[in-house]
Amino acid sequence: MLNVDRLTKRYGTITAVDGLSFDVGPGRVTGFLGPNGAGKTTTLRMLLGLAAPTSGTATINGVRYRDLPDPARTVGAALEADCFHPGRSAIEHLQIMATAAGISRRRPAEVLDVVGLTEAARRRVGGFSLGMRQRLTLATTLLGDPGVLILDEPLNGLDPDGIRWMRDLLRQLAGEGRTVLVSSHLLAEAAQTVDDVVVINRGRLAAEGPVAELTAATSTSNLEDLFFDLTSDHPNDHVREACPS
Amino acid sequence: MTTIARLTRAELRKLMAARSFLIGLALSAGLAVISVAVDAASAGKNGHAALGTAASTDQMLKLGSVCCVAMLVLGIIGSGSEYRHKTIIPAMLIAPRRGALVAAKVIGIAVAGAVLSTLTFGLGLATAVGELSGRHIHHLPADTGTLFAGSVIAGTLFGVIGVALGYITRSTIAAVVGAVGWVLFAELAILHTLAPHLAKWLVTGAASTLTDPGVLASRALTPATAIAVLSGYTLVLLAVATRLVLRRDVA
Repeated sequence: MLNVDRLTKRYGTITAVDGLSFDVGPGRVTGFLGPNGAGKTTTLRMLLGLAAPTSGTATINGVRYRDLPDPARTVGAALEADCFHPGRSAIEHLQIMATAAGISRRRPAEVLDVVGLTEAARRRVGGFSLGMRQRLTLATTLLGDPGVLILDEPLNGLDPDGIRWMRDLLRQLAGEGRTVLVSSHLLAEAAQTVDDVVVINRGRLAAEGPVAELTAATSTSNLEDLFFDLTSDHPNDHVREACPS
Repeated sequence: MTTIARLTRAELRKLMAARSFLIGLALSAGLAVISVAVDAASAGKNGHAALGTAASTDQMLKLGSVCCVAMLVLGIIGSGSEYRHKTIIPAMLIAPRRGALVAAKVIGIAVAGAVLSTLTFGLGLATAVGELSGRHIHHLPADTGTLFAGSVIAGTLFGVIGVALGYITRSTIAAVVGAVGWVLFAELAILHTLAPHLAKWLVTGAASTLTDPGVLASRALTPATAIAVLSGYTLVLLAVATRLVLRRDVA
């Protein structure tokens, strides 16, 4: 369970995240949506202890990330698909991460198999395509077999097969009872992947809830229309009534 | 296994997987061997001291500076490249208590520094002994053991200084430029010229006491004092780096 409570982040006079509150529950894929600059990545950084909130709290299972006793086995998180030393092979990268987290030596090969990179295990990451990096990023998050997954733009750079594979995997992981939060700007793809959405705009919550309920309440036909209405300067009357924030 | 032990093992794995450490080790050891061989070949010629004299042997055993430069650069790469390649992000996700991350990096580089400095000085010394015994000279200066230990300690401390600079600047290039600028301009060009009596208390002065046979013999500082001075600079830089790592947002 993820809980964000009145979270605020200011950089000088700029407010990147403004009193944001939402919850993300287990067993469902939750999309974290918003236009560029809405504060998605800043929010995820605060949730993951990489940035300090100006005020408010962000917790995972009721605990701040920095206070988690075994973070790698609790949360699998990826903020960018390019956090690798280009001179290391995929298996070396995972072995280093597994060693740091105290995870068994067998696990790196297992997660490479899960993401379909077994044959590329000994290739240098510097030669990987963006899609392969996304897969390796996901493999890194799965090392500790965590109950919570937080992924920033995991669909970027994937080809159609890769997107379908990622969608199926995320749904499978949620089906196993895990909490899955994915940010994305690919609305059509997100619509086929997520059960719930948290939509933010200009650092504030625009709407949260199951996609079906939100589209029904706002009389929009799909997630894309809902998104544009929520993030528009002039939302329609149904959206104003259903999502006053 | 404790968090720091796990993170230290991971740091050592990173070093073994990185070409930079293996290349640095090969360059450092190779340079030491070549330097000694060149000194031995030029001894007694063009005004150089004859082989077997104290001056000639001192010249051959000036190997510590190689260890210091190599480890400074490797230390900078060790921490600065974490930001350059953004590997600091997964590292901090695995170890959100950042102090442990810094401690492991320092221990890892210190181990690397001890290994590289021992191999560099050891191979250079072995080459010197070979050159001397080939000409039936079977004695070494009395300070050789002190120089060996001093070079290993200085190389190790320079590695840690490099780690601190990499964390402070978050850029390998900025850290290398800053370190070279400090040594060449602030210390050698300005302070050594304007206040030569302070020279022995500077980073390069203390390091020279540990690695340069001539400076060591002058007893400007005792080796123990030089180690304390160099450790002091290292600790101050490390304290600044740790504070910044703990407080900064990771972008």
